[in-house]
Amino acid sequence: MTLRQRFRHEIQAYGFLGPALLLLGLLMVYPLFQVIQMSFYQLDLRRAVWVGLGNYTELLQTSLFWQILWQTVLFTVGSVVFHLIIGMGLALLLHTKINVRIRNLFRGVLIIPWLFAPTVAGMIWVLMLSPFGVLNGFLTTLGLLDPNATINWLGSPQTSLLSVTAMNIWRAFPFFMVMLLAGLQAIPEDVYEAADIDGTTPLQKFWYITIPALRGIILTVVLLDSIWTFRAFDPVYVMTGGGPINSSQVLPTIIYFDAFQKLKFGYASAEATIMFLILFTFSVAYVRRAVREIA
Amino acid sequence: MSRVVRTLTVLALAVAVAVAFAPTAQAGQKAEVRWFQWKTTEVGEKLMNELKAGFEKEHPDITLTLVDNPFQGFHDKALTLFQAQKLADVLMVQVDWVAEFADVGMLEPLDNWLAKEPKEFLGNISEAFQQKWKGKQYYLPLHSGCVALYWNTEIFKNAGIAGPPKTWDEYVQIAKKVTNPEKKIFATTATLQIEPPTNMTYDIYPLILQAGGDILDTKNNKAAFNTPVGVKAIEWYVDLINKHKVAVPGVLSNGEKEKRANFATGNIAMMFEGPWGVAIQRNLNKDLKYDTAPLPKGMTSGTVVRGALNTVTTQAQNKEAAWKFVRWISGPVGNEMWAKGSGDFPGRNDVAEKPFFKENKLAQAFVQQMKQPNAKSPFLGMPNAVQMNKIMTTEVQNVVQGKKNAKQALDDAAAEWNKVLAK
Repeated sequence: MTLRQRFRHEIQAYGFLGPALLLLGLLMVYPLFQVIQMSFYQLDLRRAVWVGLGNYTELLQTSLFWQILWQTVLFTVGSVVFHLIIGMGLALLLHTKINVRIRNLFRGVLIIPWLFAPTVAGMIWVLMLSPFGVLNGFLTTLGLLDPNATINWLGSPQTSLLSVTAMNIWRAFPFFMVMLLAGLQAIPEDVYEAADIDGTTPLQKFWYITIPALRGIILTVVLLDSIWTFRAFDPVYVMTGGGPINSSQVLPTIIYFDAFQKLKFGYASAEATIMFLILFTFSVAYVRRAVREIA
Repeated sequence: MSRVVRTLTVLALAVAVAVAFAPTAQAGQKAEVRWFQWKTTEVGEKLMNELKAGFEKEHPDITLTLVDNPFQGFHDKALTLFQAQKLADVLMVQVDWVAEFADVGMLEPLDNWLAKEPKEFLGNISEAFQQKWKGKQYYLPLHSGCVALYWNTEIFKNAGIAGPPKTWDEYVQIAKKVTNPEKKIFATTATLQIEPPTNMTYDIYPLILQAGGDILDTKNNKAAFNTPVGVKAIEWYVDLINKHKVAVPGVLSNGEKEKRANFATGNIAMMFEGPWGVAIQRNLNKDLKYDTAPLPKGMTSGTVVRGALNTVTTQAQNKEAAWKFVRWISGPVGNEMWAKGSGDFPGRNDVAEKPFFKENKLAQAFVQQMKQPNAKSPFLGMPNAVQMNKIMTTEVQNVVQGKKNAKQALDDAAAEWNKVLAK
């Protein structure tokens, strides 16, 4: 192929890519640029005043921001770790050689939480966790709670974030379960048979065969789930609104409240930019993995 | 030839006539008023179409177009439409949004139009709805309503109590008498949910007013609640929860929805609620036996007034026509039509005095309460009511949790409010 032909070929390729790149630019790059730009202004609906890094300085000096960032990390880490543990446990159970019908039934049933929209799941859990809800009733029946006492799971600063995290764990573990089950089914059976001949224990097989074989999938789903959970808005908004006393507030909700309730668009943009930078590091790790896999 | 000339002359005349009458035809076109509101989904199209017909009959030169948007998200939608320069001519607002929207430049002051109205027009509108923002009146009420006491007659009867409490002391005595956690019967519905922080209307601001305090110093545009009487109000409220233990569990997470649902079960003796709660209780439990009464007094009486208001927007295409509609719907004819059709508490005193409304027994406590001193709508002086309510909610939550005392919490809330008010 001559240089000219190659040049024409490239031009043609970029011509085809053009519309998609334009859309990407309009829908992703422009709003992102706008948010970053807005973060350098004190901005409400009336005026925009350039403050440079003023919003960032104010933000980083506010103890509430650090508290909320820490709570977002706790919410994310708690959710992802338990998604992995529960997802892995159930994937292993579903992979065992039991009655096919029963196995398929459980596969279907266990996927149900994943089918709920986060808002719907949140509303269900609000009812379950209310002072006169199912959970307190259950604890009373078991004798773990005084019949005249109630635990206000969502209304106590000690348990509000924990309750929201529990709902999020319940809703999203099936994603891990399905992905890991697919991974388990791809591991050749003869590897385990060889290990059996060598006299390995089930724990050794899990640690030395299953985990290394699933490593790629685990890393991918953990990265994806970390991104999704870190930016999850609905669970907290629906269940607690960030309260009481900001005890369950997370970054996505405080950004919304600062922007649309306080109308501090510049300040909220600075919060959003910091959140973007954190998520960007996760995304870079994910993209690097994906590219490596393709290569 | 003469035939040709004649034809041309007739044609020329026809053109001249058409040209001469064209502007008249344009001037004769009807003005359109677009009314952006959330009521169609609530009251149904029948009433809205009756209103439209009623208004258009009295104003044949104006067409009323109903633009409906559900209440959920209405505030944000209005702001977005304003940014896009597409705001309707008449915008319905909550009391909490007036100052905020006026500051942003969305609302047209009505003072010049109101100045031309006869004295009895404003004279029939509750004083609470004549509160100005930065010296200007931006709204007229469609419907109003203040907070009063709902009391479960069955629980009172079973406890041998004759009637509702008239003072704070009586309230505490009755509350202690009727509360029975074993039977899940509680005296009161304390609600301090943070999102949305709407419970300040019912639980905190009326108490501060009853204690003899105020919420806002409208002259100096500053918080006015951090006073010894304000502290007394908060302490009285928190004592109901922590000391007397007469509030239904879930105080820090319960909101309006939970409050109403709890009262509807028939296990809650008393609830602070507006007249809009009557229809809600009917839907939740039509067999519930309850009555309404004015709120118990502290040092004095006091209640918070809310309502839906109409405003003329700065982006209105025809402001004069928009004003005519706002005036009509808050006038005696339109407002009566609205109150009759929707069952809402009228925005006008003369409509509330009409026989059709007097027949509504449960509404009379609200009429009485509105006439007592300190029936106020502090939200009309809040440039960011949601944020300010949240600040107050969080601080009262701190007191309930024992993290701050009432004075410290009110001082901290006042400092935050003053920052918002100074902007």
